[in-house]
Amino acid sequence: MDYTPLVLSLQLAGITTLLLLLVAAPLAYILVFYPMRGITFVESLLGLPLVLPPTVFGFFLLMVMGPEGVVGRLHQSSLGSPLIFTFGSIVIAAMLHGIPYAVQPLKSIFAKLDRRLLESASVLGCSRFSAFFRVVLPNSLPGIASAAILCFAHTMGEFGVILMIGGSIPGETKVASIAVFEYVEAMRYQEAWQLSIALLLVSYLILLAVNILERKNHAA
Amino acid sequence: MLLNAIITKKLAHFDLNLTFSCPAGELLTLAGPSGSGKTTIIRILAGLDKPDSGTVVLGSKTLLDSSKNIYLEPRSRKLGYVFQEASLFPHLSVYKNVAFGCINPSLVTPLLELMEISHLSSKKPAHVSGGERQRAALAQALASEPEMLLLDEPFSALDIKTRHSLQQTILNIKKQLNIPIILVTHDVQEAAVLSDQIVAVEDGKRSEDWLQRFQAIVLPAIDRVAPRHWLESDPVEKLSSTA
Amino acid sequence: MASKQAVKSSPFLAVALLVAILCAAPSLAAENLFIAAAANFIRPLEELAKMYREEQGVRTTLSFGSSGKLYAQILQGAPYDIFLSADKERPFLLYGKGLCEPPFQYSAGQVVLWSRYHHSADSSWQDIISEQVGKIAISNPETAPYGKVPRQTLHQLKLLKELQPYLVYGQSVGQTFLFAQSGAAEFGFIALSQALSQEGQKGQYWPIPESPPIEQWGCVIVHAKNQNLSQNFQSYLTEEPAQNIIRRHGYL
Repeated sequence: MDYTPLVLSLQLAGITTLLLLLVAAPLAYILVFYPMRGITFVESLLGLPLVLPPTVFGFFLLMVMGPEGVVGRLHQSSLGSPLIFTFGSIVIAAMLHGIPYAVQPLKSIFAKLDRRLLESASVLGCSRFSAFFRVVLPNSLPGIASAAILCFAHTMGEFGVILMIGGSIPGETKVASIAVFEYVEAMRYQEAWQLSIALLLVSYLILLAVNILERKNHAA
Repeated sequence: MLLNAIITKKLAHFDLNLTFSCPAGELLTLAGPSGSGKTTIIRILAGLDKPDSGTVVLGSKTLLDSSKNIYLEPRSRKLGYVFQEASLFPHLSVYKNVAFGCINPSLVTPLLELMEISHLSSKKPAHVSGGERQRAALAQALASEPEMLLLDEPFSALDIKTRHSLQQTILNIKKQLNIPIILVTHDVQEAAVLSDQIVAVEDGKRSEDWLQRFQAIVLPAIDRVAPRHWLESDPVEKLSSTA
Repeated sequence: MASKQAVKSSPFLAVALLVAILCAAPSLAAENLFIAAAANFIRPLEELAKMYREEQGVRTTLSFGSSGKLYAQILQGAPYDIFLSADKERPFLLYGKGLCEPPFQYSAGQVVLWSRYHHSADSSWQDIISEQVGKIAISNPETAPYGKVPRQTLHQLKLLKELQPYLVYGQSVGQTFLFAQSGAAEFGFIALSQALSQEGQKGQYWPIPESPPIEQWGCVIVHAKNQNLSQNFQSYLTEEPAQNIIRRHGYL
């Protein structure tokens, strides 16, 4: 039994989650506390991955990240290597696809924060930037943890987008969901079973962690 | 250091329109019924709200001048602000809360001592009493070496004994601090005990009418709730001088 | 009041519409031949289906996918009447399980090397591919015959080891073509029929004489609702007029 796809999925989910939180947390902070003019347009844009079929999303990404696309060309000219069909390209795809799954829970956590804490911080000489790190983040830790787990879980289950753009390269873009799909197609049902059950276990553990966290949150 | 404020702002039910000034070392009370615009005024002083027009000048520093488009962010105003409650950061110990906006860390320990909360420095705000929390909040506000202190109903959620002891603390440090102190309260006794100057506010304006009614309640009330011996000066005199 | 009525009537309308659609669906299916075909056969089959309808008056519903997926669906009882695989193996596997009538060959495809980028037209495919700088798209060799055959050829010519790091895998020959057509991959091993299509003509292709033709076999599913109709389509597909069309699309 080859567990490379599972390991790759875990790596993809871990890295995507980390990067996604780094992007989504400030984004959610701005959306909640300092909404600017025209923010509705940005918010609607960020929600698109929830609505778009993964195939459509993947098709766009393939066109944009390929050597003929804007992003692909930029990557090629700045780093000298093509972007598409690399681990990096599926990380980008998973991040873009996962943005609403990270931003939404973070937004609801931040919205629950007492605004007076931020006002107090600002009167005490804190900039918006440092208030984010000194006040917002430490008071949202449990919520951030559940957002992270959601992102992780969503990325573990990512299929359509990666199917469209990954190219199924073993150890690079052939993640567990793709591998299961291919095992089934190749009539290797035994392996399909094994990998599916491994995925099932991982997914169950993730959900278990979410629920334990939520329970703790409610208790606190 | 003198605070001069002229503030106009259109609110939902009335127009806010108020002019007042407060010299260093004195305490000005904005008194009035709830919903009269007191908190909006103090928030405008802090920079947390913006008026439609007006000026706020503290000493030589212009915090706000709508005609010249000057607006200083709250963090650049060098203020201390004590909220009614919940102005402490729940994730930090009392000590770290007090040190939060502090430029000079050597101030923290003496301030904790002054507020009689040294023994609580390692506790989280959730694990101390309401009165201790407000003492810590006061220490937090003072630790940033403010040039003006804003107190927004700081003691209204406390029981009477704790309230009196905190009021005493304010009286003790008032002269020493030598900065303008603005207090918002609807507690007539508190206003009478602490203030050098009372601005009675009703529907966003100075209300002579309300001040007279206020006096009528306050004068007997002071005798009843506040024993003369812990009042620094004669409140009756204070009230009549500002009227 | 009027607005309240409007609000009430709109879900009713939606439900009525849904019911109408649901009722209409089975009546459409009644005189319908349900064909599951390998993705590479889309273009000829669409043309044949149109002709068949005009000549014989029978509607067809076409479902395309990789042979592997369609095979798995048939194993699970998918309601197809006819299965047109891209290989020989799967129809015979179904036959072995008693799920279909004896298989028949309906065409043979050819693998070619294709690129949207300009390369010397005189060189052989081996010279061209050994100068590659980008990725090479190939269909998943385990599931798609159009991936299996070129992979074997690369292996026999001892090119596989060298080129392995550059291979990216399409789930079907359609996706492989997309990878090459979008420029994401420099080359693609695709079907000749794709190279002859409108999109394919925008690029350049090289024959691969070393690769054997890919026999495409089909079969009539045993539980087909309409055995007569299915048998009729089978003979239609293997007779000369249909075969001419199939050849025109780049099959042997």
